[in-house]
Amino acid sequence: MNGDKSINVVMCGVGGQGIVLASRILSEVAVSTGNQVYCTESHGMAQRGGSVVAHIRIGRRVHSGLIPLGEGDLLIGFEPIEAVRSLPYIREGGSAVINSYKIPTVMKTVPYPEIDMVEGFIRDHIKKAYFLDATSLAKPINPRSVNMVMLGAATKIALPFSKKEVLDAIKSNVHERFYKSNVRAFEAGFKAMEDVLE
Amino acid sequence: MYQISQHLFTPTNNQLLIVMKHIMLGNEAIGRGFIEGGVQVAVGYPGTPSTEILQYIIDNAGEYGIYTEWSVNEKVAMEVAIAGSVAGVRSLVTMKSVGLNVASDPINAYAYMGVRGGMVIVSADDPSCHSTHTEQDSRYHAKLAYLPVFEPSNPGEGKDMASVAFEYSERWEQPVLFRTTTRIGHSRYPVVWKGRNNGDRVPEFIRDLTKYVNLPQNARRMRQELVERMEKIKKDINNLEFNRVEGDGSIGIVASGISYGYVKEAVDKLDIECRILKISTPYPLPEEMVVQFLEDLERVLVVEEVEPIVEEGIIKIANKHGFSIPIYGKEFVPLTGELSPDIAYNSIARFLERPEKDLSKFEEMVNRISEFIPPRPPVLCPGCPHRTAFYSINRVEKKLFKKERNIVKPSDIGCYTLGYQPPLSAVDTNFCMGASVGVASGLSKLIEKPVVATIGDSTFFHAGIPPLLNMVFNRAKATVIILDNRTTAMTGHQPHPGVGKNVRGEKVPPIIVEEIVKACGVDFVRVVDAFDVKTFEETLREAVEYDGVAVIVSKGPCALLDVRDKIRAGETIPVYYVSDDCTGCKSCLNLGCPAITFDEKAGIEETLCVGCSVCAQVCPVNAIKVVE
Repeated sequence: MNGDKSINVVMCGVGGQGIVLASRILSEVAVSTGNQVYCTESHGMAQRGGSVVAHIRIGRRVHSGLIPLGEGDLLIGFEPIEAVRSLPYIREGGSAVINSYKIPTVMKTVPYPEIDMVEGFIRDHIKKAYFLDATSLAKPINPRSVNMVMLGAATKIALPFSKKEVLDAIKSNVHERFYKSNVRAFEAGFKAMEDVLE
Repeated sequence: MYQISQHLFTPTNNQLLIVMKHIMLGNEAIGRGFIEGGVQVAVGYPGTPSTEILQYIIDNAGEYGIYTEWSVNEKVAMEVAIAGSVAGVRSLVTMKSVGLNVASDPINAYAYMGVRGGMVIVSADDPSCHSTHTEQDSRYHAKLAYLPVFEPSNPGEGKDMASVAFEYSERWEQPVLFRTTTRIGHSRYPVVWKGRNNGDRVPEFIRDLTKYVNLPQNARRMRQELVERMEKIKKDINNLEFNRVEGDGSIGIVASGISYGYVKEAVDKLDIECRILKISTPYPLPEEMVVQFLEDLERVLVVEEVEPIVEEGIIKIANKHGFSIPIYGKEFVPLTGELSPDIAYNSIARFLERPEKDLSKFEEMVNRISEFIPPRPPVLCPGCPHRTAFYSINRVEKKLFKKERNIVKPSDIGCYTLGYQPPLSAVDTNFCMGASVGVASGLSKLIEKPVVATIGDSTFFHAGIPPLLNMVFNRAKATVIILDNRTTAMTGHQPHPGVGKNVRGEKVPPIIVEEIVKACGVDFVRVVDAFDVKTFEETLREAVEYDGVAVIVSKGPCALLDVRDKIRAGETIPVYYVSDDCTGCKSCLNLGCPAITFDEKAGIEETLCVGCSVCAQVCPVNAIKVVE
């Protein structure tokens, strides 16, 4: 119980990656620790394999659910080029946790860029940018738990909440049947970041 | 579904209280508000961003004995809700902004009569056109029909206003229009629940001919009574708790609906003293409160999304009461697109002649990003049954006309509008629900080129049957492909009359699309398997060459539902791969499937493929094979 956490988080990726559930869990962690939260998601047409973005604003006084450009503190990117797309929302001193696993686009007006170029572009903008292959980490546990891997990684890197606080919210938000595998996925993401930081 | 969160909450007086806060999606919170307000009839037609309001009520209806339905269209939904109101119970109808156009006939009629049970019409507007074809502002519609408008400033207020809307409608015997927008409906926010009131009435029809029969002899009197009711509402709306004046200073800012949050954020950042008028009823405005607000101000800015409805209302009141101060709105606040914290900040900064936030560096960055990052718009899903139809239209066109794109392709509202995206690019027009068939009917009478319309099953039931009758009646010569995936896919798989089960779980005889088509008098009716590419193409060619109205019913389940059901049933989903036989001819790329990749040769992204086999069928060298 603290009630004094303040953070603007952008989560982005592709429809079907579980971003809405992850943003809901983060919102719940905020409220269960006594903070106000206002979270805005893209729905509707974005469900059909399009870009998905959620803005989560946590603080004592939160007036709107959209983060002003350049005022985001943390970017949780579920897909490398989607992370680039949301980059303008993150402040220069902010941080980023990004899944390096690529999802191809149907529109081939521009070829999918090389991953090194994507990483370089992100690092030019945010020094504290961390990459992990969350999709490959999730695969042996449950291919649909990429969102939990990302939450685990973000908890280690920049979320102002403890592991227990986030895990409690996961417990109350996912079906009992999937809880254990979700915790394993969360731990995998958390550990991946521990290894990076060492 | 919503989630529950419990926490200890310490207010400023240090008293420890236990408050249950539920983090809810705005639309779910609003649905919850209607349940608390005693809704007994809740109906609608799905449409983003309105759908989850009724879905939430449906999911919780049993507990409270609420009658719910997804009706066949918004007009019918409105009529069912009117029935509830006439029978004396609190009744709700939900729709998206453009649905309000469809429902406007019964809405305007019922507004004349005076409600019995409280009647609320939800219209969810979509500034910035996130998933709608217009930015239309429902508040104008409300003025047309004399409906007081309730417009929440955040999801939490939406919940509280929903239950008050019923009370208000009943007190003044007038339907209330509850206007939301995408950002209200699709934001999550902590809300506190209350109990349910007035939800246990016994519906009863009481004959009242001079009230419910609007023959001219009655309508003229009703019109007079309507104007009188509205005058009373104009006075009373000053007492509504959701409108208020905050702060003080010589600068006045009026904030309507969601812009209130943006204004508060901007005022905090600019650190200015000002008087804020928070408006939650843009029509009618609380006149006395507006006059109090204007007293001693030097200048005023009205911040609202889309149309200048509050602005015009404030100027009218100021004029009437002799205020000669400048009142601005759309001079500083954009008329198009939704607002954001940045846009509102800069509008206010310009109005105050203060430095704006420099957005140009962000624009530069966005431009740089778009140079090397491919766009990712929504597209037809892997395994989507609609893909074959668009692919076949392109193939038939190529066979008949070589490179000339001579087939005219009107389409309609639904997932299949995404047939617009390259490489399919097989959607030439899209106007409104059902228009593909009406436009095909008209074009085929005027031009020589073949016309092939595409329309989904739910849209066909909603507004596609009358134009099909029109085609037969007026001897049109065109093809209509009805994409029957047995669900309303785009909005989240709501059932429709073809499904065989309604939202209350009752089994009902499924309406067979091809039987309706035959009953409309169409002679050429063919049913094809959406995943049989060769037969589809042959049948379409035959249809295009047929001298009259030709209808192809394409049958194939929505991939999202099909895969989910197969996984639940323990079936394995086949996955395809591209073997070394691939010659790199790119034929499979014409399908526009998100699972197909290309790097000198084709590839299949195994995490996306759902095994529909369509790419394997179109590969000229049979290089695409199923993973054993």
